[in-house]
Amino acid sequence: MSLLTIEDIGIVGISSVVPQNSVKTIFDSIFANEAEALKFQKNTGVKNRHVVSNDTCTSDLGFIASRNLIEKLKWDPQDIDILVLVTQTADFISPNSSIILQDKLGLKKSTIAFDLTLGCSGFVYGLSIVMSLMKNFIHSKALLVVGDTLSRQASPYDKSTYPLFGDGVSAIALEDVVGSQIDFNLFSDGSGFNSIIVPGGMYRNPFNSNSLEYSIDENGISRNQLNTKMDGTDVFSFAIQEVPNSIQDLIDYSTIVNDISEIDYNIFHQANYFILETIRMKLKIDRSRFFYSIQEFGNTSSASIPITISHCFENDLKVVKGSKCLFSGFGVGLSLGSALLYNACDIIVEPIYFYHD
Amino acid sequence: MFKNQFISAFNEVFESKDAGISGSTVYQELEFWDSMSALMLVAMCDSQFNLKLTGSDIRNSKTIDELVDLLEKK
Repeated sequence: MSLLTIEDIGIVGISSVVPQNSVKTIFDSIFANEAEALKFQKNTGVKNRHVVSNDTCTSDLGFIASRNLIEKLKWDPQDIDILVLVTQTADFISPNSSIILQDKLGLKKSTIAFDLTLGCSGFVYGLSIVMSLMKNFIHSKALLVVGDTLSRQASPYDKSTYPLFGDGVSAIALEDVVGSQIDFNLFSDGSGFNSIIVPGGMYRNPFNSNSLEYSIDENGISRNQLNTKMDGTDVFSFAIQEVPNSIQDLIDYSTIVNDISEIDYNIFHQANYFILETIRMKLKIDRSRFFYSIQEFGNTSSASIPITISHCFENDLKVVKGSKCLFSGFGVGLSLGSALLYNACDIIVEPIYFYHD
Repeated sequence: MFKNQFISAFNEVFESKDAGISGSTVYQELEFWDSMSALMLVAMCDSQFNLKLTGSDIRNSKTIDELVDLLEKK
């Protein structure tokens, strides 16, 4: 376990963007019939998800999310020192899409910009890295942009991924906030690298004339080398063991709370409903303090925690200052990050923006 | 002993008391078995026996006896 504390940096705003086009699970033609669709919906919790067209990239959604947030907070783009994009679905193999965003958003050339290739744990990891960098400035402003367009990576014949993943990107604004504290617990288990994998297209299995050929695997699922392959049972086994352990260690370490019941908002990666409920019950978290967005947006990868905040706080338009929030992201890697936040300012929450592609 | 406890827990989770589950049952061929059942089995091993069952454990065991053997070695 890797525990760390960062003080006097807070989250000041969150803005999320999803594509306008949505698919209701019960009308999804991937299922043989309505009974199968309803069973999937009951187990995963996904009733609806938003999907991009084939022309839209993560950075397109990230641009809107960032621009809206900069405008809302009345930030001067020239004041932003750091821009980190967490994505597995960048525009190009190289260069990093965050650098393209630096220019499109009109940020100064001295902005530190780079991508992190993480998935479901990416929001928490992104926070820990950006905040650590910020500690080296006297004053700084940073944007963390997280999200994916996983619908473009899933095989349209794969019922274990295609109807589960939704697209979406969030931008998170970070600034010096005296009195804020965030504690992290970060964890990696590369022995499970094969549990969620896109096997082809990079340098272990370079793109070749067979990369796009569909073949049927041992579970009868048809996909090509550029599609996501997921062993749901392995991910489940990892999540229900390691997530509660990691959170318990974090609470034991943290000075923010003594007990999980003191946390106001428990916001976890929206993997699927059954995983989340199993974890929630193991940790004895009250249902009224545990938040969901999977029913409306599906599993939105690294954006799922901030999208859940955007979704659940869109009537209040803020998470009030002094709130104690627990975040936990877990999945591809296998990678896991949990964070306990005491935020000494309001978090401004923008209503979710629906992007017409 | 563990085998009896396992079968009893299995029957409770899958409501399969009348299905005549025994050590030789090829559990993944049971009529009700689907991808969700595997997750329920992992959850059962975790909550009732504090044992970590993985996807490959399930792929590598055909019968209840094989699964019980595998779990006993953990």
